[in-house]
Amino acid sequence: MLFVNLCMQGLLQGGIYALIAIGLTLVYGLLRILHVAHAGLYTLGGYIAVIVTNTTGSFSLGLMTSMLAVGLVGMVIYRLIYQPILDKPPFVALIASIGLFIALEEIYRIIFGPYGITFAAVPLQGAVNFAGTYLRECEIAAVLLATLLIAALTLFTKHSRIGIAWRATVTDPEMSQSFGVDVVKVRYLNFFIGSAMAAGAGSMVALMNNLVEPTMGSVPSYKALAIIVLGGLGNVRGTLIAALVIGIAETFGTIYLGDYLDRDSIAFAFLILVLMVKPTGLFAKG
Amino acid sequence: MLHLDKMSCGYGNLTVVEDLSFNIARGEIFALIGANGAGKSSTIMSIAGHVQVKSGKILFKERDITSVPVTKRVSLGIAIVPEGRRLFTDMSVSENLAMGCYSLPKSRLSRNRDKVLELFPRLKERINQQASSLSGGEQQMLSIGRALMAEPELLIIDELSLGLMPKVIDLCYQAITALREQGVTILLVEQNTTRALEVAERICVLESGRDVWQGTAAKACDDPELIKAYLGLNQE
Ligand SMILES: Nc1ncnc2c1ncn2[C@@H]1O[C@H](COP(=O)(O)OP(=O)(O)O)[C@@H](O)[C@H]1O
Ligand SMILES: [Mg+2]
Repeated sequence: MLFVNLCMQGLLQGGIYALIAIGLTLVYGLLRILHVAHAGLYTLGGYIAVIVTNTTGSFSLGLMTSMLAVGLVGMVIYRLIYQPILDKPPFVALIASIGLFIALEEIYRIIFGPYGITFAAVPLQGAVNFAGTYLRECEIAAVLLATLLIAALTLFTKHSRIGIAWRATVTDPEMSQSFGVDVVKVRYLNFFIGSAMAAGAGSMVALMNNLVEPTMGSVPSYKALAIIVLGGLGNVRGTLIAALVIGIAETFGTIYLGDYLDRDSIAFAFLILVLMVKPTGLFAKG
Repeated sequence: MLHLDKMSCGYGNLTVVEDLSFNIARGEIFALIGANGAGKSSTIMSIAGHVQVKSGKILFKERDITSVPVTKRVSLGIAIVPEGRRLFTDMSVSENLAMGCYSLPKSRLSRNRDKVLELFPRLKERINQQASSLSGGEQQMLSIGRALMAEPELLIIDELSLGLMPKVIDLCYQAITALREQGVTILLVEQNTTRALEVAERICVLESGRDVWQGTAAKACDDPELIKAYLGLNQE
Protein backbone atom coordinates (compact mmCIF):
# COMPACT_ATOMS: atom_id res chain seq x y z
CA MET A 1 0.00 0.00 0.00
CA LEU A 2 2.73 2.38 0.98
CA PHE A 3 4.50 1.51 -2.26
CA VAL A 4 1.48 2.33 -4.46
CA ASN A 5 0.86 5.48 -2.50
CA LEU A 6 4.44 6.64 -2.88
CA CYS A 7 4.33 5.92 -6.62
CA MET A 8 1.18 7.99 -6.97
CA GLN A 9 2.64 10.85 -4.96
CA GLY A 10 5.82 10.63 -7.01
CA LEU A 11 3.97 10.78 -10.31
CA LEU A 12 1.93 13.69 -9.06
CA GLN A 13 5.03 15.59 -8.01
CA GLY A 14 6.75 14.63 -11.26
CA GLY A 15 3.79 15.83 -13.31
CA ILE A 16 3.94 19.23 -11.62
CA TYR A 17 7.69 19.44 -12.19
CA ALA A 18 7.18 18.48 -15.82
CA LEU A 19 4.65 21.26 -16.39
CA ILE A 20 7.16 23.78 -15.06
CA ALA A 21 10.31 22.34 -16.61
CA ILE A 22 8.92 21.86 -20.13
CA GLY A 23 8.46 25.62 -20.55
CA LEU A 24 12.03 26.13 -19.40
CA THR A 25 13.46 23.56 -21.78
CA LEU A 26 11.40 24.97 -24.66
CA VAL A 27 12.90 28.41 -24.15
CA TYR A 28 16.37 26.95 -23.89
CA GLY A 29 15.89 24.88 -27.05
CA LEU A 30 14.81 27.88 -29.09
CA LEU A 31 16.89 30.73 -27.69
CA ARG A 32 19.68 29.11 -25.62
CA ILE A 33 18.57 31.19 -22.66
CA LEU A 34 18.18 29.87 -19.11
CA HIS A 35 14.83 31.47 -18.36
CA VAL A 36 15.06 31.49 -14.55
CA ALA A 37 12.15 33.94 -14.23
CA HIS A 38 9.91 31.17 -15.57
CA ALA A 39 9.29 30.02 -11.97
CA GLY A 40 8.02 33.54 -11.23
CA LEU A 41 5.28 32.92 -13.78
CA TYR A 42 4.40 29.68 -12.03
CA THR A 43 3.81 31.74 -8.87
CA LEU A 44 1.82 34.32 -10.80
CA GLY A 45 -0.32 31.47 -12.12
CA GLY A 46 -1.11 30.48 -8.55
CA TYR A 47 -2.08 34.04 -7.58
CA ILE A 48 -4.37 34.54 -10.54
CA ALA A 49 -6.08 31.18 -10.02
CA VAL A 50 -6.82 31.95 -6.35
CA ILE A 51 -8.01 35.48 -7.01
CA VAL A 52 -10.27 34.59 -9.94
CA THR A 53 -11.65 31.55 -8.09
CA ASN A 54 -12.41 33.65 -5.03
CA THR A 55 -14.10 36.32 -7.14
CA THR A 56 -16.15 34.07 -9.38
CA GLY A 57 -16.52 30.92 -7.30
CA SER A 58 -15.28 28.74 -10.18
CA PHE A 59 -11.89 27.06 -10.04
CA SER A 60 -12.03 25.97 -13.69
CA LEU A 61 -12.49 29.58 -14.67
CA GLY A 62 -9.64 30.52 -12.35
CA LEU A 63 -7.39 27.91 -13.93
CA MET A 64 -8.19 28.94 -17.50
CA THR A 65 -7.83 32.66 -16.82
CA SER A 66 -4.55 32.00 -15.09
CA MET A 67 -3.12 29.98 -17.98
CA LEU A 68 -4.26 32.47 -20.58
CA ALA A 69 -3.09 35.56 -18.70
CA VAL A 70 0.28 34.09 -17.73
CA GLY A 71 0.79 32.89 -21.30
CA LEU A 72 0.38 36.50 -22.42
CA VAL A 73 2.73 37.74 -19.67
CA GLY A 74 5.31 35.24 -20.96
CA MET A 75 5.04 36.79 -24.42
CA VAL A 76 5.46 40.27 -22.96
CA ILE A 77 8.57 39.12 -21.06
CA TYR A 78 10.04 37.81 -24.30
CA ARG A 79 9.30 41.08 -26.08
CA LEU A 80 10.51 43.43 -23.36
CA ILE A 81 13.32 41.51 -21.68
CA TYR A 82 14.80 38.91 -24.03
CA GLN A 83 14.27 40.19 -27.55
CA PRO A 84 16.39 43.33 -27.07
CA ILE A 85 19.38 41.30 -25.81
CA LEU A 86 19.25 38.26 -28.09
CA ASP A 87 22.50 39.17 -29.82
CA LYS A 88 24.36 39.56 -26.52
CA PRO A 89 26.30 36.68 -24.94
CA PRO A 90 24.04 34.19 -23.09
CA PHE A 91 25.04 35.30 -19.60
CA VAL A 92 23.45 38.71 -20.24
CA ALA A 93 20.05 37.09 -20.64
CA LEU A 94 20.75 34.89 -17.61
CA ILE A 95 21.46 37.94 -15.44
CA ALA A 96 18.38 39.71 -16.78
CA SER A 97 16.32 36.63 -16.03
CA ILE A 98 17.56 36.26 -12.46
CA GLY A 99 16.94 39.97 -11.92
CA LEU A 100 13.44 39.65 -13.27
CA PHE A 101 12.74 36.65 -11.05
CA ILE A 102 13.77 38.54 -7.90
CA ALA A 103 11.78 41.58 -9.05
CA LEU A 104 8.68 39.42 -9.62
CA GLU A 105 8.89 37.99 -6.09
CA GLU A 106 9.14 41.50 -4.66
CA ILE A 107 6.25 42.72 -6.81
CA TYR A 108 4.07 39.86 -5.51
CA ARG A 109 5.09 40.75 -1.96
CA ILE A 110 4.10 44.38 -2.48
CA ILE A 111 0.82 43.67 -4.26
CA PHE A 112 -0.45 40.53 -2.52
CA GLY A 113 1.27 40.86 0.87
CA PRO A 114 4.14 38.86 2.39
CA TYR A 115 2.09 36.07 4.00
CA GLY A 116 0.42 34.65 0.96
CA ILE A 117 -3.23 34.24 -0.01
CA THR A 118 -5.64 31.30 0.24
CA PHE A 119 -8.87 30.12 -1.34
CA ALA A 120 -12.04 31.39 0.32
CA ALA A 121 -13.56 27.92 -0.07
CA VAL A 122 -11.08 25.28 -1.23
CA PRO A 123 -12.55 23.14 -4.00
CA LEU A 124 -11.73 19.49 -4.87
CA GLN A 125 -10.61 18.34 -1.41
CA GLY A 126 -12.64 15.10 -1.13
CA ALA A 127 -10.70 11.85 -0.76
CA VAL A 128 -10.96 9.19 -3.44
CA ASN A 129 -10.04 5.55 -2.97
CA PHE A 130 -7.51 4.76 -5.66
CA ALA A 131 -6.05 1.24 -5.85
CA GLY A 132 -6.26 0.86 -2.11
CA THR A 133 -4.78 4.25 -1.20
CA TYR A 134 -6.47 7.57 -0.76
CA LEU A 135 -5.85 10.49 -3.05
CA ARG A 136 -7.44 13.90 -2.89
CA GLU A 137 -9.59 15.03 -5.82
CA CYS A 138 -7.28 17.96 -6.42
CA GLU A 139 -4.31 15.60 -6.72
CA ILE A 140 -6.11 13.52 -9.32
CA ALA A 141 -7.09 16.71 -11.13
CA ALA A 142 -3.42 17.79 -11.14
CA VAL A 143 -2.29 14.50 -12.67
CA LEU A 144 -5.07 14.71 -15.26
CA LEU A 145 -4.19 18.29 -16.16
CA ALA A 146 -0.50 17.47 -16.54
CA THR A 147 -1.28 14.47 -18.74
CA LEU A 148 -3.74 16.42 -20.83
CA LEU A 149 -1.45 19.41 -21.40
CA ILE A 150 1.57 17.29 -22.24
CA ALA A 151 -0.46 15.11 -24.61
CA ALA A 152 -1.89 18.21 -26.27
CA LEU A 153 1.58 19.67 -26.69
CA THR A 154 2.85 16.44 -28.24
CA LEU A 155 -0.03 16.27 -30.71
CA PHE A 156 0.40 19.92 -31.55
CA THR A 157 4.10 19.66 -32.32
CA LYS A 158 3.69 16.44 -34.28
CA HIS A 159 0.64 17.16 -36.36
CA SER A 160 -0.01 20.87 -36.80
CA ARG A 161 1.76 22.92 -39.44
CA ILE A 162 2.91 25.56 -37.01
CA GLY A 163 3.94 22.88 -34.51
CA ILE A 164 6.20 21.24 -37.10
CA ALA A 165 7.56 24.67 -38.05
CA TRP A 166 8.31 25.24 -34.38
CA ARG A 167 10.42 22.07 -34.17
CA ALA A 168 12.14 22.97 -37.43
CA THR A 169 13.00 26.40 -36.02
CA VAL A 170 14.55 24.82 -32.92
CA THR A 171 16.82 22.70 -35.17
CA ASP A 172 17.78 25.36 -37.72
CA PRO A 173 16.20 28.82 -37.47
CA GLU A 174 17.91 30.07 -40.64
CA MET A 175 16.67 27.24 -42.83
CA SER A 176 13.20 27.41 -41.39
CA GLN A 177 13.15 31.10 -42.32
CA SER A 178 14.25 30.15 -45.80
CA PHE A 179 11.08 28.11 -46.14
CA GLY A 180 8.90 30.95 -44.95
CA VAL A 181 8.64 30.47 -41.19
CA ASP A 182 8.33 33.68 -39.19
CA VAL A 183 10.65 32.82 -36.29
CA VAL A 184 9.47 35.73 -34.16
CA LYS A 185 5.95 34.29 -34.21
CA VAL A 186 7.40 30.93 -33.22
CA ARG A 187 9.14 32.53 -30.24
CA TYR A 188 5.92 34.18 -29.06
CA LEU A 189 4.11 30.87 -29.39
CA ASN A 190 6.88 29.16 -27.45
CA PHE A 191 6.66 31.64 -24.57
CA PHE A 192 2.87 31.51 -24.55
CA ILE A 193 2.67 27.73 -24.33
CA GLY A 194 5.54 27.30 -21.84
CA SER A 195 4.23 30.03 -19.54
CA ALA A 196 0.63 28.79 -19.69
CA MET A 197 1.80 25.32 -18.67
CA ALA A 198 3.71 26.75 -15.71
CA ALA A 199 0.58 28.67 -14.71
CA GLY A 200 -1.38 25.41 -14.85
CA ALA A 201 1.15 23.89 -12.44
CA GLY A 202 1.02 26.96 -10.17
CA SER A 203 -2.79 26.82 -10.05
CA MET A 204 -2.83 23.13 -9.09
CA VAL A 205 -0.14 23.58 -6.43
CA ALA A 206 -2.10 26.52 -5.04
CA LEU A 207 -5.09 24.21 -4.82
CA MET A 208 -3.21 21.34 -3.17
CA ASN A 209 -1.48 23.54 -0.57
CA ASN A 210 -4.28 26.11 -0.32
CA LEU A 211 -1.57 28.73 -0.26
CA VAL A 212 0.20 31.03 -2.69
CA GLU A 213 3.09 33.06 -1.35
CA PRO A 214 5.63 35.34 -3.05
CA THR A 215 8.49 32.83 -2.79
CA MET A 216 6.49 29.82 -3.98
CA GLY A 217 8.66 29.66 -7.11
CA SER A 218 12.09 29.68 -5.40
CA VAL A 219 12.54 25.96 -4.93
CA PRO A 220 10.91 25.00 -8.26
CA SER A 221 13.13 27.51 -10.06
CA TYR A 222 16.35 25.70 -9.30
CA LYS A 223 14.81 22.26 -9.27
CA ALA A 224 13.48 22.82 -12.79
CA LEU A 225 17.01 23.77 -13.84
CA ALA A 226 18.29 20.48 -12.47
CA ILE A 227 15.54 18.63 -14.32
CA ILE A 228 16.21 20.18 -17.72
CA VAL A 229 19.93 19.51 -17.36
CA LEU A 230 19.14 15.88 -16.54
CA GLY A 231 16.73 15.71 -19.48
CA GLY A 232 19.39 17.01 -21.89
CA LEU A 233 18.88 20.77 -22.29
CA GLY A 234 16.22 21.52 -24.90
CA ASN A 235 14.98 17.94 -25.10
CA VAL A 236 11.26 17.89 -24.23
CA ARG A 237 10.82 14.13 -23.91
CA GLY A 238 13.97 13.87 -21.79
CA THR A 239 12.68 16.66 -19.57
CA LEU A 240 9.37 14.87 -19.09
CA ILE A 241 11.09 11.64 -18.08
CA ALA A 242 13.59 13.45 -15.83
CA ALA A 243 10.72 15.27 -14.10
CA LEU A 244 8.93 12.00 -13.37
CA VAL A 245 12.14 10.33 -12.21
CA ILE A 246 12.93 13.22 -9.85
CA GLY A 247 9.34 13.28 -8.59
CA ILE A 248 9.47 9.58 -7.73
CA ALA A 249 13.02 9.71 -6.38
CA GLU A 250 12.00 12.53 -4.04
CA THR A 251 8.92 10.80 -2.71
CA PHE A 252 10.73 7.55 -2.03
CA GLY A 253 13.82 9.37 -0.85
CA THR A 254 11.87 11.33 1.73
CA ILE A 255 10.74 8.07 3.32
CA TYR A 256 13.94 6.06 3.01
CA LEU A 257 16.64 8.74 3.09
CA GLY A 258 14.72 11.42 4.98
CA ASP A 259 17.00 11.12 8.01
CA TYR A 260 20.11 11.98 6.02
CA LEU A 261 18.96 14.17 3.16
CA ASP A 262 16.55 17.06 2.96
CA ARG A 263 13.75 16.45 0.43
CA ASP A 264 14.80 19.33 -1.78
CA SER A 265 18.41 18.17 -1.91
CA ILE A 266 17.51 14.76 -3.35
CA ALA A 267 17.06 16.15 -6.86
CA PHE A 268 20.54 17.63 -6.68
CA ALA A 269 22.17 14.55 -5.19
CA PHE A 270 20.63 12.66 -8.10
CA LEU A 271 21.80 15.30 -10.58
CA ILE A 272 25.37 15.13 -9.29
CA LEU A 273 25.30 11.35 -9.46
CA VAL A 274 24.04 11.32 -13.05
CA LEU A 275 26.44 14.01 -14.22
CA MET A 276 29.37 12.06 -12.77
CA VAL A 277 28.39 9.06 -14.87
CA LYS A 278 27.01 10.85 -17.93
CA PRO A 279 28.04 14.53 -18.13
CA THR A 280 25.54 15.32 -20.91
CA GLY A 281 22.51 14.38 -18.82
CA LEU A 282 20.29 11.35 -19.19
CA PHE A 283 18.92 12.09 -22.63
CA ALA A 284 21.29 14.40 -24.46
CA LYS A 285 20.87 14.37 -28.21
CA GLY A 286 23.35 12.67 -30.52
CA MET B 1 15.65 35.69 -64.38
CA LEU B 2 18.24 36.37 -61.68
CA HIS B 3 20.45 39.37 -62.12
CA LEU B 4 23.26 40.37 -59.79
CA ASP B 5 24.29 43.95 -60.32
CA LYS B 6 27.69 44.84 -58.84
CA MET B 7 26.77 43.09 -55.64
CA SER B 8 29.12 43.08 -52.66
CA CYS B 9 28.35 41.09 -49.56
CA GLY B 10 29.97 40.08 -46.30
CA TYR B 11 29.82 39.63 -42.57
CA GLY B 12 29.99 42.59 -40.17
CA ASN B 13 32.77 44.86 -41.41
CA LEU B 14 34.21 42.16 -43.59
CA THR B 15 33.43 42.18 -47.32
CA VAL B 16 34.00 38.77 -48.86
CA VAL B 17 32.49 39.20 -52.34
CA GLU B 18 33.04 42.38 -54.31
CA ASP B 19 31.22 43.87 -57.29
CA LEU B 20 29.91 40.60 -58.58
CA SER B 21 27.61 40.77 -61.60
CA PHE B 22 25.99 37.98 -63.53
CA ASN B 23 22.74 37.24 -65.26
CA ILE B 24 21.01 33.88 -65.23
CA ALA B 25 18.48 33.20 -67.99
CA ARG B 26 15.25 31.34 -67.33
CA GLY B 27 15.62 27.59 -67.70
CA GLU B 28 19.40 27.38 -67.72
CA ILE B 29 21.87 25.79 -65.36
CA PHE B 30 24.40 28.34 -64.24
CA ALA B 31 27.43 27.14 -62.29
CA LEU B 32 29.44 29.14 -59.82
CA ILE B 33 32.94 27.69 -59.57
CA GLY B 34 35.92 28.48 -57.41
CA ALA B 35 38.26 27.21 -54.74
CA ASN B 36 37.38 26.89 -51.08
CA GLY B 37 36.79 30.27 -49.52
CA ALA B 38 36.29 32.03 -52.86
CA GLY B 39 32.90 33.36 -51.74
CA LYS B 40 30.49 31.01 -53.53
CA SER B 41 28.41 30.16 -50.48
CA SER B 42 28.37 33.78 -49.36
CA THR B 43 27.08 34.81 -52.78
CA ILE B 44 24.20 32.39 -52.80
CA MET B 45 23.37 32.95 -49.15
CA SER B 46 22.96 36.63 -49.95
CA ILE B 47 20.63 35.71 -52.80
CA ALA B 48 18.70 33.62 -50.27
CA GLY B 49 18.73 36.59 -47.89
CA HIS B 50 20.96 35.27 -45.13
CA VAL B 51 24.14 37.20 -45.84
CA GLN B 52 24.16 40.96 -45.77
CA VAL B 53 24.40 42.76 -49.11
CA LYS B 54 26.73 45.75 -48.74
CA SER B 55 26.24 47.40 -52.11
CA GLY B 56 24.80 46.65 -55.51
CA LYS B 57 21.52 44.97 -56.27
CA ILE B 58 19.91 41.57 -56.64
CA LEU B 59 17.09 41.46 -59.17
CA PHE B 60 14.77 38.47 -59.47
CA LYS B 61 12.26 38.41 -62.31
CA GLU B 62 13.04 42.11 -62.92
CA ARG B 63 12.20 42.98 -59.34
CA ASP B 64 14.75 44.38 -56.88
CA ILE B 65 14.77 41.90 -54.01
CA THR B 66 17.90 43.19 -52.25
CA SER B 67 15.95 44.18 -49.15
CA VAL B 68 13.13 41.63 -49.28
CA PRO B 69 13.14 39.72 -45.96
CA VAL B 70 14.40 36.10 -45.97
CA THR B 71 11.00 34.60 -45.17
CA LYS B 72 9.37 36.26 -48.18
CA ARG B 73 11.85 35.08 -50.80
CA VAL B 74 10.56 31.53 -50.95
CA SER B 75 7.12 32.70 -52.05
CA LEU B 76 8.77 34.72 -54.83
CA GLY B 77 10.11 31.44 -56.19
CA ILE B 78 13.61 31.00 -54.72
CA ALA B 79 14.49 27.83 -52.85
CA ILE B 80 17.84 26.71 -51.53
CA VAL B 81 19.73 23.46 -51.01
CA PRO B 82 22.38 24.72 -48.62
CA GLU B 83 25.93 23.55 -48.07
CA GLY B 84 25.89 20.62 -45.64
CA ARG B 85 22.18 19.90 -46.45
CA ARG B 86 21.01 21.43 -43.16
CA LEU B 87 18.01 19.17 -42.85
CA PHE B 88 15.68 19.32 -39.89
CA THR B 89 17.51 16.36 -38.40
CA ASP B 90 15.09 15.56 -35.57
CA MET B 91 12.18 15.28 -37.93
CA SER B 92 11.06 12.57 -40.31
CA VAL B 93 11.58 12.63 -44.07
CA SER B 94 7.90 13.34 -44.49
CA GLU B 95 8.01 16.25 -42.03
CA ASN B 96 11.07 17.71 -43.76
CA LEU B 97 9.18 17.66 -47.04
CA ALA B 98 6.19 19.25 -45.37
CA MET B 99 8.43 22.07 -44.16
CA GLY B 100 9.52 22.70 -47.75
CA CYS B 101 5.88 23.35 -48.56
CA TYR B 102 5.31 25.68 -45.60
CA SER B 103 4.87 28.81 -47.71
CA LEU B 104 2.22 27.22 -49.94
CA PRO B 105 -1.41 26.33 -49.24
CA LYS B 106 -1.85 22.98 -47.50
CA SER B 107 -3.65 21.56 -50.53
CA ARG B 108 -0.39 21.47 -52.51
CA LEU B 109 1.37 19.21 -50.04
CA SER B 110 0.37 15.79 -51.32
CA ARG B 111 0.76 16.65 -55.00
CA ASN B 112 4.24 18.11 -54.52
CA ARG B 113 5.23 15.23 -52.31
CA ASP B 114 4.25 12.71 -54.97
CA LYS B 115 6.38 14.59 -57.49
CA VAL B 116 9.42 14.61 -55.22
CA LEU B 117 9.04 10.93 -54.39
CA GLU B 118 8.77 10.15 -58.07
CA LEU B 119 12.06 11.96 -58.66
CA PHE B 120 13.72 10.26 -55.65
CA PRO B 121 12.05 6.87 -55.08
CA ARG B 122 14.66 6.12 -52.41
CA LEU B 123 12.98 8.64 -50.13
CA LYS B 124 9.67 6.80 -50.38
CA GLU B 125 11.13 3.80 -48.58
CA ARG B 126 12.43 6.08 -45.83
CA ILE B 127 9.44 8.35 -45.55
CA ASN B 128 8.90 7.88 -41.80
CA GLN B 129 12.56 7.64 -40.89
CA GLN B 130 14.30 10.42 -39.03
CA ALA B 131 16.34 12.61 -41.39
CA SER B 132 19.51 12.15 -39.35
CA SER B 133 19.37 8.38 -39.94
CA LEU B 134 19.68 8.74 -43.73
CA SER B 135 22.89 8.16 -45.65
CA GLY B 136 24.72 11.18 -47.08
CA GLY B 137 23.25 10.67 -50.53
CA GLU B 138 19.72 10.26 -49.22
CA GLN B 139 20.16 13.39 -47.15
CA GLN B 140 21.18 15.33 -50.26
CA MET B 141 18.12 13.98 -52.09
CA LEU B 142 15.94 15.01 -49.19
CA SER B 143 17.48 18.46 -49.13
CA ILE B 144 16.78 18.86 -52.86
CA GLY B 145 13.31 17.37 -52.35
CA ARG B 146 12.57 19.78 -49.52
CA ALA B 147 13.50 22.72 -51.74
CA LEU B 148 11.37 21.38 -54.61
CA MET B 149 8.36 21.18 -52.31
CA ALA B 150 8.31 24.99 -52.44
CA GLU B 151 7.75 24.88 -56.23
CA PRO B 152 10.77 27.09 -56.94
CA GLU B 153 11.42 28.83 -60.22
CA LEU B 154 15.03 29.26 -59.17
CA LEU B 155 16.70 26.39 -57.36
CA ILE B 156 20.00 27.23 -55.68
CA ILE B 157 22.23 24.28 -54.84
CA ASP B 158 25.45 24.58 -52.84
CA GLU B 159 28.06 21.82 -53.23
CA LEU B 160 25.79 19.26 -54.83
CA SER B 161 28.37 16.47 -55.02
CA LEU B 162 30.46 17.16 -51.93
CA GLY B 163 31.08 14.01 -49.90
CA LEU B 164 28.92 11.76 -52.07
CA MET B 165 29.80 8.53 -53.84
CA PRO B 166 30.07 8.72 -57.67
CA LYS B 167 26.93 6.63 -58.12
CA VAL B 168 24.89 8.95 -55.94
CA ILE B 169 26.38 11.97 -57.70
CA ASP B 170 25.10 10.50 -60.98
CA LEU B 171 21.64 10.21 -59.47
CA CYS B 172 21.67 13.80 -58.26
CA TYR B 173 22.85 15.10 -61.62
CA GLN B 174 20.17 13.12 -63.41
CA ALA B 175 17.63 14.78 -61.14
CA ILE B 176 19.09 18.21 -61.93
CA THR B 177 18.84 17.69 -65.67
CA ALA B 178 15.30 16.38 -65.28
CA LEU B 179 14.41 19.52 -63.38
CA ARG B 180 15.85 21.73 -66.10
CA GLU B 181 13.64 19.90 -68.58
CA GLN B 182 10.69 20.88 -66.40
CA GLY B 183 11.71 24.51 -66.70
CA VAL B 184 13.39 25.07 -63.33
CA THR B 185 16.30 27.49 -63.43
CA ILE B 186 19.29 26.23 -61.47
CA LEU B 187 22.17 28.06 -59.83
CA LEU B 188 24.74 25.43 -59.00
CA VAL B 189 27.79 25.79 -56.78
CA GLU B 190 30.26 23.05 -57.38
CA GLN B 191 33.88 22.29 -56.57
CA ASN B 192 33.75 19.32 -58.87
CA THR B 193 34.37 21.30 -62.05
CA THR B 194 34.19 18.34 -64.42
CA ARG B 195 30.64 17.62 -63.34
CA ALA B 196 29.65 21.26 -63.40
CA LEU B 197 31.01 21.78 -66.92
CA GLU B 198 29.07 18.74 -68.11
CA VAL B 199 25.63 20.09 -67.17
CA ALA B 200 25.95 23.86 -66.97
CA GLU B 201 25.19 26.16 -69.91
CA ARG B 202 27.28 28.92 -68.46
CA ILE B 203 29.75 29.31 -65.64
CA CYS B 204 31.22 32.03 -63.51
CA VAL B 205 34.61 31.49 -61.87
CA LEU B 206 35.21 33.22 -58.55
CA GLU B 207 38.53 33.84 -56.91
CA SER B 208 38.88 35.63 -53.56
CA GLY B 209 35.48 37.20 -53.90
CA ARG B 210 35.93 38.52 -57.45
CA ASP B 211 34.78 37.01 -60.68
CA VAL B 212 37.72 36.17 -62.91
CA TRP B 213 35.93 34.51 -65.81
CA GLN B 214 32.40 34.22 -67.17
CA GLY B 215 31.12 32.50 -70.26
CA THR B 216 29.62 29.37 -71.71
CA ALA B 217 30.76 25.99 -70.49
CA ALA B 218 31.78 25.06 -74.02
CA LYS B 219 34.04 28.06 -74.23
CA ALA B 220 35.54 27.29 -70.83
CA CYS B 221 36.46 23.79 -71.98
CA ASP B 222 38.30 25.28 -74.96
CA ASP B 223 40.33 27.66 -72.88
CA PRO B 224 43.50 25.80 -71.82
CA GLU B 225 44.72 28.68 -69.70
CA LEU B 226 41.51 28.88 -67.74
CA ILE B 227 41.51 25.14 -67.22
CA LYS B 228 45.07 25.22 -66.04
CA ALA B 229 44.58 28.15 -63.72
CA TYR B 230 41.18 27.48 -62.15
CA LEU B 231 39.37 24.45 -63.39
CA GLY B 232 42.03 21.76 -63.30
CA LEU B 233 42.38 21.81 -59.54
CA ASN B 234 39.41 19.90 -58.33
CA GLN B 235 38.80 17.20 -60.85
CA GLU B 236 37.21 13.92 -59.87
N1 LIG C 1 29.86 33.51 -41.00
C1 LIG C 1 31.00 34.06 -41.46
N2 LIG C 1 31.58 35.07 -40.80
C2 LIG C 1 32.72 35.64 -41.24
N3 LIG C 1 33.35 35.26 -42.36
C3 LIG C 1 32.83 34.25 -43.07
C4 LIG C 1 31.63 33.60 -42.66
N4 LIG C 1 31.34 32.63 -43.56
C5 LIG C 1 32.33 32.68 -44.49
N5 LIG C 1 33.22 33.64 -44.19
C6 LIG C 1 34.40 34.00 -45.00
O1 LIG C 1 33.98 34.40 -46.27
C7 LIG C 1 34.87 33.94 -47.25
C8 LIG C 1 34.10 33.18 -48.32
O2 LIG C 1 33.56 32.00 -47.77
P1 LIG C 1 32.48 31.12 -48.50
O3 LIG C 1 31.47 32.02 -49.10
O4 LIG C 1 32.02 30.10 -47.56
O5 LIG C 1 33.36 30.46 -49.65
P2 LIG C 1 33.11 29.17 -50.53
O6 LIG C 1 31.68 28.76 -50.38
O7 LIG C 1 33.47 29.59 -51.90
O8 LIG C 1 34.03 28.11 -50.01
C9 LIG C 1 35.92 33.08 -46.55
O9 LIG C 1 37.07 33.85 -46.41
C10 LIG C 1 35.30 32.80 -45.22
O10 LIG C 1 36.28 32.71 -44.22
MG1 LIG D 1 30.89 26.99 -49.69
